Amino acid sequence: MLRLLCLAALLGVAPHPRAQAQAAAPAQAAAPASPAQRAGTIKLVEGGVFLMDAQGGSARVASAGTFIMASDQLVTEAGSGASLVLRDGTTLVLGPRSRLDLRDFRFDTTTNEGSIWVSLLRGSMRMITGLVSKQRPDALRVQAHTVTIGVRGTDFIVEVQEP
Amino acid sequence: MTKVAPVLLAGLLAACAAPPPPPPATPVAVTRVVLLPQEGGASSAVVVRTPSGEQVLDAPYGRATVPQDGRTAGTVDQTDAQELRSRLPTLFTLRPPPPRQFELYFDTGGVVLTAQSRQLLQEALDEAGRRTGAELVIVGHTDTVGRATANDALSLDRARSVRSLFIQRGVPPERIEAAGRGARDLAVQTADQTEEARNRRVTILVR
Repeated sequence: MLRLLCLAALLGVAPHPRAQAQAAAPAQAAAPASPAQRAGTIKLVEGGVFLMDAQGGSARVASAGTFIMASDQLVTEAGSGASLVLRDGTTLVLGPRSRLDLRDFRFDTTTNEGSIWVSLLRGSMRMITGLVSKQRPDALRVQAHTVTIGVRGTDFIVEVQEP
Repeated sequence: MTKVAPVLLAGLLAACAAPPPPPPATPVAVTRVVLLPQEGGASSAVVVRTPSGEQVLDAPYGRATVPQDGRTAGTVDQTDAQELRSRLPTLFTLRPPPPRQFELYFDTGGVVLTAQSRQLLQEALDEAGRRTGAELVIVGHTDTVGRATANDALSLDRARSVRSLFIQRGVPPERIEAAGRGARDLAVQTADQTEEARNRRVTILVR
């Protein structure tokens, strides 16, 4: 509990009452996600990296092999970073003091059709595109505040710099 | 008194003549986008869209800098690998190694692997063991004989049969995804309804 509160303070959010209840009930720990349920897998981690679900309530430590779900947010502390690969092969690398919102992920492994929507709320990220945008470039939506990025088969960096 | 007055007057005049001081510079948050070179040197581009217009980056290390106040579409200039690697090192050091691919082949029409292909299973396992957060993506393919729906089903059956071989060898099921692409990704282009052993295959992607 103390750890959750520290983490919540660190991330600047108040713990949601339901998150506390979840933390107090380890029996509810989710079973490993089947391959089709997850959006991707964390590959490399340096320093403090956390995943938060859509409610912003339950934050969990991310390490190599942790699954990421659609609508999760990935958060890195100062001096930290992480990489993940989405199921369609899209690779994301997140820099220090960053926050990435995986707003949507859908992928049909038979047709390679789907949609991906990521939003960089803070910090820096690198993206190397995968099968979804290869199949249909407009199916990939990358956003950083007021900017949206249209991608044509690419490796690129996005950075949000505070004044 | 007579000596002081002209000085005062000059001072007042100077104050009136001076342009109004510029407003204190309020730094604006910016979003930056940098296009990196494509592996293999293929051309690529990103379009950076803002409420005030868009910028196209189509040369490696082209950089768009867009103020977040939305008043302008920002500016475009060039950066370089050295600047990026020194300022944003984790974006380079934490990139996962590229996936490694293995091709397995089947005896005609079924889900039985050729002897040579069975050996590759072990190589794929070894490769997975060298990676952190490793996963296996197993994608089945068919040749163009038969109906599309039947080929989709057969290709998925092939992928699943290989997946079960990995599960038997101790790989956690949630780390292995099986998919069937039917005849959509031919290794060898053929006409429809053409038998081709090299198209009856399963691709294992270790990443």
